[in-house]
Amino acid sequence: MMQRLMALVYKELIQIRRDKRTLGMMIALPVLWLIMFGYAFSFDVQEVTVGVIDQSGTRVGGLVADAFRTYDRFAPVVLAEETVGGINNAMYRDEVQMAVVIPPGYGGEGTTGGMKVYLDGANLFAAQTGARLLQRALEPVQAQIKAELEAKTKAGAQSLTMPAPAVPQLIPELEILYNPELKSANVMIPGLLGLVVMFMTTMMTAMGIVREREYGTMEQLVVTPIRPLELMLGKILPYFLVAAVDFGLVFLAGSYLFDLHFVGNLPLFLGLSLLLVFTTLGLGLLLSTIAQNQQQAMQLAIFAILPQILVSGLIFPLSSLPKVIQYVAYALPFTHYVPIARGMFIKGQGLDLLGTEALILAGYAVVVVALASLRFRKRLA
Amino acid sequence: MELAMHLQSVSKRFGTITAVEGVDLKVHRGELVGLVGPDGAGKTTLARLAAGALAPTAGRVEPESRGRVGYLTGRFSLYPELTVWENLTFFARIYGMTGPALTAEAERLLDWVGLLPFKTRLAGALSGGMRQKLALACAVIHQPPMLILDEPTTAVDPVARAAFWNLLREQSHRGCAVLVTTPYMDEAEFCHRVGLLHQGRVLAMGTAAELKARLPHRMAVLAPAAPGEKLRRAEAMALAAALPGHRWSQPLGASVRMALDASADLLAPAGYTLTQVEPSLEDAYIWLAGEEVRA
Repeated sequence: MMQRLMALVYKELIQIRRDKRTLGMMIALPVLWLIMFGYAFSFDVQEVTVGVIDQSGTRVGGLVADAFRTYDRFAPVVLAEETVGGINNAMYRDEVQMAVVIPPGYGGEGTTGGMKVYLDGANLFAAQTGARLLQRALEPVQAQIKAELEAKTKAGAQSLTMPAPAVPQLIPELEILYNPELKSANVMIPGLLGLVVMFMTTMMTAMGIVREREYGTMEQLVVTPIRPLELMLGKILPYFLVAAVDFGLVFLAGSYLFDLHFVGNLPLFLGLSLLLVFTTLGLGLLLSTIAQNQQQAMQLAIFAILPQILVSGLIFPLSSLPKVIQYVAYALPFTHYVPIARGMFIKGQGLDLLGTEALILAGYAVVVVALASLRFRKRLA
Repeated sequence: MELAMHLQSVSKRFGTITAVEGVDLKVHRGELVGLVGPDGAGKTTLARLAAGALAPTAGRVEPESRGRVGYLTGRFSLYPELTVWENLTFFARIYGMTGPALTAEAERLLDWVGLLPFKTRLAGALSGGMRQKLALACAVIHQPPMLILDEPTTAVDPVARAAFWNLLREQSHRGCAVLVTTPYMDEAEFCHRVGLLHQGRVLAMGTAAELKARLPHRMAVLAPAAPGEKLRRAEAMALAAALPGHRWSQPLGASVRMALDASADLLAPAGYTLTQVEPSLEDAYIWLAGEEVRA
């Protein structure tokens, strides 16, 4: 049994090595995805163009305006017309993504008017980034005013025995607990691990088996002493190895290129990833019993994988999807792997929190593998 | 003679189509048996049943073929990305061969089929004839007592075809039972015994000479008397059909080949010659297939 299995695996590995197209896909795809998901899929905008209109005439207003103009992630733009109409016009012409109007008397005694911020929703990610960075741009001013007030109070306290007035902290202090730099790579790469594995196993397994049928060698193998189980394992194992190599590649790249640290329980993570691999290998096996040729196998594989990527929550948050699509998403195995990968990678979550996902994934693995091997045997007979 | 394989009233149906019906067939050790028939006669299905690649709907194949037959099809059935050597040793390992024994046997077989100089060539880069020789080497690497070949020479040129048949004869000489299907009637002459396959049934079984002897007619060729004259097909066919004792006729190149009652005289029409010829296996096939329809 072992010798026949090893002969099959060895043969398959030679085929993989000689088939330039497959080999290229195996190496190029994870690299391409790493770049896409790690760098390009960053929804973070580095610099937001900002126009500031200071109508306050107060010292605080001036400080705030300066803070916005000098903040390193804001690129100040001088507006041609310092009015709301002028802001509208500049946004229409894509000259500015955010504009701030500081109203007359801002920060002075007895004024209640806050500043008004205009954002260009057409530049969605710039607008989101701008809104988030507003807080940070104001932090130095906040600190400065606070310090000045305290100094003033102290000076007054020497003559009067009065407690220092409480400094109003209007701007919340923001602390991001996991992934503090809000890097999208941190959120994307754990899911990418699953994506690469899913893609390699499903597509490659399906194509590998269909190719055997196309070559006419399947018929040869059937009349040899090879048993169906050996044949199945012989086709699955090589692509399992390929997936393992790609998994390692993405894991290492995530660690070294993107400075990502895995904080969870690694053996548990590998074990749960194995459940995904069983499911996707089984899926590939299943597709191979349906497809007539390699082209069909590839199309079927893409058809089976693409929706899983789109609705799994890897790229778009699940909660942002319509209810119906969410139900579809929960019916797909990959949807349950994404929270496992993210939760374990970034937060170090364990089975106590991810138990449901792990159980569902295990269920999928059992059902898909059983179904696939049944169909595979039937197809051979 | 020792029986190597026995197909006992084997039938195979695919849905409503009956591909093979009640075939009884015995192949003995050292015997080269051919199954001849046109496309759709059931050759491939029968070969797959014999090889154990397909389970019969009814009847049985004895003994069980799986693991003890060599099986070769006319369709490409090697790994094109693997070299000649890798293909051969892969099949050897599947059959449990290892080490120096494997190497020695693989070298011997490659030498036998004349592919030793092409050891490192990719199978995908071989010519049709070379591919089939390699496939044959792969099929006999485990020295099977039985070899089944399904239209092995379909994509092979005539010279390579003769060489291939010589290899098959050598296999039968070493005691292997060989069963070959082919659409080429002339190839049946290489076989010890021939079965004529028609619509899933074996019409007749015997040596080529025996089968030809079953034809109760005399065969003749009707040709224009003037040498080099072109055949006026419609006229020649009409004349042939009007001859006494005419059975059937078919145009064949610059002449018409026809069957006449054995007692009929050969009376050439004006401007034509009528020459008696030896019956061929194809003549016997046409007659037997016609009998089958009439029955």
